[in-house]
Amino acid sequence: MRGPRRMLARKMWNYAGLAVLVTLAGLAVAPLLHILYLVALKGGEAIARIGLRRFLTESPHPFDPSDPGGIGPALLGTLELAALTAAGATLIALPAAVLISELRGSRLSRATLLLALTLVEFPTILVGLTVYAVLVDHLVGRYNMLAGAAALAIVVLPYLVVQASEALRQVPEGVREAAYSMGAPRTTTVYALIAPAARRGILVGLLIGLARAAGETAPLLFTIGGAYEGYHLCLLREGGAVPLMIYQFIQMPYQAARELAWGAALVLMLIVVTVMVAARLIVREVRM
Amino acid sequence: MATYALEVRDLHVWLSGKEILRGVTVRFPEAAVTAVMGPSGTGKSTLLRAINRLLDLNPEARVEGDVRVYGRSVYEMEPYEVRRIVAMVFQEPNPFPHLSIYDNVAIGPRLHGLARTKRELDEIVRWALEKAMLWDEVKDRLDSSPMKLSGGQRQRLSLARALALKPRILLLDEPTANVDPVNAVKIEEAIRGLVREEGLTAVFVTHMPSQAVRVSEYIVFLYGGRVVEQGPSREVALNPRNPLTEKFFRGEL
Ligand SMILES: Nc1ncnc2c1ncn2[C@@H]1O[C@H](COP(=O)(O)OP(=O)(O)OP(=O)(O)O)[C@@H](O)[C@H]1O
Ligand SMILES: [Mg+2]
Repeated sequence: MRGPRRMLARKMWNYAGLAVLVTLAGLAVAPLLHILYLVALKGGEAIARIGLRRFLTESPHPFDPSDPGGIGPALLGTLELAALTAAGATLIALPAAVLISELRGSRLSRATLLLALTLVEFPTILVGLTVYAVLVDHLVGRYNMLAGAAALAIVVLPYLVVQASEALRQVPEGVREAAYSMGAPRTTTVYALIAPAARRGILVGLLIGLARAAGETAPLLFTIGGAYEGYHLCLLREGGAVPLMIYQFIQMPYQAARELAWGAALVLMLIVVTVMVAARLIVREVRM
Repeated sequence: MATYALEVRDLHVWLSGKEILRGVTVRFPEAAVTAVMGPSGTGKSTLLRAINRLLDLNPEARVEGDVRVYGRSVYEMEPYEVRRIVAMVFQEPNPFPHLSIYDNVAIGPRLHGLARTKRELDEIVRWALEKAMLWDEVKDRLDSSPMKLSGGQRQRLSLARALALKPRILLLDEPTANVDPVNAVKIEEAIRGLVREEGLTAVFVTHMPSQAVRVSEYIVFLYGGRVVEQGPSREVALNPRNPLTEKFFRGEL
């Protein structure tokens, strides 16, 4: 008699526990789903009214409710910043990652890793502030895209260093020994054989870092100036970027500006999600 | 009298403070295969890594004594120079997974500028794959990934990659330990051919007495980080002077 009853009680407990877990998970996920829903809805509405093509290519007219225009220059700015950030961050992160992984066990390697791990958590507003002081205030004398890219690169750098050194570390010992046994000097060996063997992992780190950078606003607040009139690729002039545009336009008391902001939010979300999914797919291929 | 391609003189190696090689002195005759034998953990792989200075990569390793390649001390050369003359094949097949079959073999000549034209490079690649007895099996899929090859084919690819460096000396660390018997025979034949036709000097680590007798002219028997016995293969195998060697050949060590 006691056996089945106990089993029933245990089953009940299991279900109760499961219910609690599902509720908690729901509570955690609900805000996220709400954000996705809201951005998709409001952004979708705005873009549908303006027309996708116009929205992606026009300059904004935040004061014209009948024709809000689009986010073209800001989008170009974001792509420009992403490209510069990727180039700058990779150029510095790769040697640092190589140092961490190939001089493993040395004090220099440990110190570099520790520094990178610490900087990952560094407040991005401080990065923006510092770059402002040096590149905007001191050197160029006006807001400029180069300063924005520098700030973003500094934000992404520690993350990329950690990811890349991890990717290098995961190159199997056998492959590493084979690389060194090819009789090339150490630096050549690392850059011609070991880093390429880890290239997917490094690329994934770069993509995730860029996805993060694409949404960063704080480093851009006082670096790029937020100019959205017309296209240009000049590095030493003011420019725009999608997240900064959202931040600035959503605060304007004009219907058209808000529509632009929501539409821009949807575009930003899609960019970030696409890059993240791409990164995941690459990771999955690595595992196989 | 035989001339020697490689000489190891009173070599001591410490790994993480533990003395692994305790004064190894041995000479490797040119254009011959010398089998290095001994029980597991006795320092065979460590000896090979000391010869081509791969031990330099291990910050926990300390080396005393000398290794001479054609009379030149490897410790007075750049490590990478040594590794070009003294190529290595490892126990685990380890082709570069991100390169095609062709590029795995071509990478050495490319790094060292051994070919001036694409045709010369093609020729080296073909030569190396033929010498490794792999050409016929891969000639139609040189652009595919080495990871699609069988273990034995991968090991022969590793051999071809080493040969493409045009080395004078080959270090082989139990190259057949992880491959099936058919592939093992092919690898043994390839090594014999290279020694006979190209005059290469091979150091062949194995713990199988039968293989040592098949493949080598000389045997060096290592025990506890020391050379216990060395000499012509048949002599060592049939009439071991040291009781330890005899025990090992009877399979009791
Ligand atoms: N990094 C290291 N630090 C400390 N000891 C090590 C290290 N690498 C290897 N050893 C030790 O050195 C000894 C010799 O190793 P080695 O790999 O040279 O032996 P081996 O003769 O090749 O053995 P096997 O037949 O199993 O391949 C072993 O006892 C091993 O445990
Ligand atoms: Mg070994």
